[in-house]
Amino acid sequence: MSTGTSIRRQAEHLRGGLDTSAALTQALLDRIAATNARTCAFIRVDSAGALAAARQADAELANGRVRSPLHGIPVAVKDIYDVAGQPTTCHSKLRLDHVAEDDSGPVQRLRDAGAVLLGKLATHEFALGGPSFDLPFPPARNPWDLDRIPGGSSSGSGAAIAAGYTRIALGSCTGGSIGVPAAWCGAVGLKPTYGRVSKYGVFPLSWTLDHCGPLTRSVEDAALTLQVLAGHDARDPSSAAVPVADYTADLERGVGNLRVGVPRHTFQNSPLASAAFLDAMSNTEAQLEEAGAVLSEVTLPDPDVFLACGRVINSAEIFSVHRDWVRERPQDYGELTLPRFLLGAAIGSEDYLTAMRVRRQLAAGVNSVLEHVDVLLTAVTLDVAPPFEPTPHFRFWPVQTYVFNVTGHPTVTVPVGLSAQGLPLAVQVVGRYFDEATVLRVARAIERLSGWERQALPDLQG
Amino acid sequence: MSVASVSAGSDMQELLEILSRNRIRVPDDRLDLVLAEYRLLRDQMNLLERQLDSGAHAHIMTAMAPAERP
Repeated sequence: MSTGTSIRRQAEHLRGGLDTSAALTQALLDRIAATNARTCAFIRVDSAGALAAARQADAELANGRVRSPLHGIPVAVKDIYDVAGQPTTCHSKLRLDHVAEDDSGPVQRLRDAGAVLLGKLATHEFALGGPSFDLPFPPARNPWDLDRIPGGSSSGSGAAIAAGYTRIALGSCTGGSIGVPAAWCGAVGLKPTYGRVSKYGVFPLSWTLDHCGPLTRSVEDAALTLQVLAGHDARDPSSAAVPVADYTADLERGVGNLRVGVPRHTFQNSPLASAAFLDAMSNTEAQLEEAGAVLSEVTLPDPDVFLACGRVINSAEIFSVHRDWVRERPQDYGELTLPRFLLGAAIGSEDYLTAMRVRRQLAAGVNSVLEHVDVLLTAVTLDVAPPFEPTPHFRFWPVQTYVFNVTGHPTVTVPVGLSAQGLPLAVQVVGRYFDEATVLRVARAIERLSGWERQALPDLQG
Repeated sequence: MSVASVSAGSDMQELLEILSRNRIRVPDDRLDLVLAEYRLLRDQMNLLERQLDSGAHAHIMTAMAPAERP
């Protein structure tokens, strides 16, 4: 059994005694050991802990105790999630000596569900920065082309899925950090509604924009993972006490008569949009219509305003978190990170509150569109993954992020095919607050209609 | 001196004052990067100021409402 087998099927095999979690975990550890030096997806592998957890899962399953659909399933987490007894470095010199005392909320839920933690995954410094070579660990690389970036900041999470190290890798998203690596690595990326998944014990970047969620191999895997992660956590003040839906019940229902709004103005005329992406989007629209969805063009507020709103809030909150380090240890930040982390010093209270007020306007604008359609179909990245550059510098990637981090609506990024160069292309489905079930249902239809569910992973052994 | 270079100098002066006021030291070789980001951020703050509907009091909330439902 390998990561080519779905989580649902893996769990069936484990429950039925056809395979063991220990064997599955060892196979993945072997794969990581063989190729991680090239992908740099993991910055810490906990082989002993993983195998111990796997053996415990096997013993429980043999005794008929089934904790969840993830019982015995190997997973990995971005290195901003606390795991008790392990370092949480945030990929930064500033945190090399930190050891977590407690599990973060999502890790605790995974552990309680019987999942097996393989280790910690690379990120951009403190989940921002960029793919940099001046940090304590190398940047993750894109398994589809190791000379290209995997996207970020959940860079190791995207790379781990594409490399076949796991089918579930937790990421986090402040302005596209789940969707972008998912799109560029050919993974499914689920950013739940703000408040749906606990952020307790997850190092904050910008706490009113931060979301925790999984990158997975398939939409069904994402639904099963959300089922474990979702729920109120009193230790996280932003956690929502909203009932948790059944995320797999309607997954295969298709899109018949569902209303899909396409905000074409947000991507169609962008100079960064490639022909390959635009073709992929057109094909997806045609496939959904053919399957019975009712598509219409909709208009969202100006994407530049979302971006401005996100950056002002983000900069102010980052500076609030990092102010002392920026003053006392500026030399320990990466070259790309420091300029962005100190900018919040230039933002006054009036600017921050103006951004928060505009944010409410933007959220109301999106809500009014979602009164007339069930989901939105839009872009997250406008082209395939770009190559690494020898000298790090600020650049505008061909991405369309921030919009739904600013508003907090749930999104799923779903791959739809490969470009002529053999690199993944993806689209994004967006839904109403706490309606992840419908978003996943549409994403599952796209996954099936596009044929992505049959797509093999890149060959790293060759 | 051109108008553009006067503006660049004035922006840098403004930035250095902000950094000094906040007791932030930036290595000289990173100042240009910070200045570029600062200009972009200032433009974005101006854009938000123009977008704000000051009369919309329902929008005066300082945090997301996590339990908000459709």
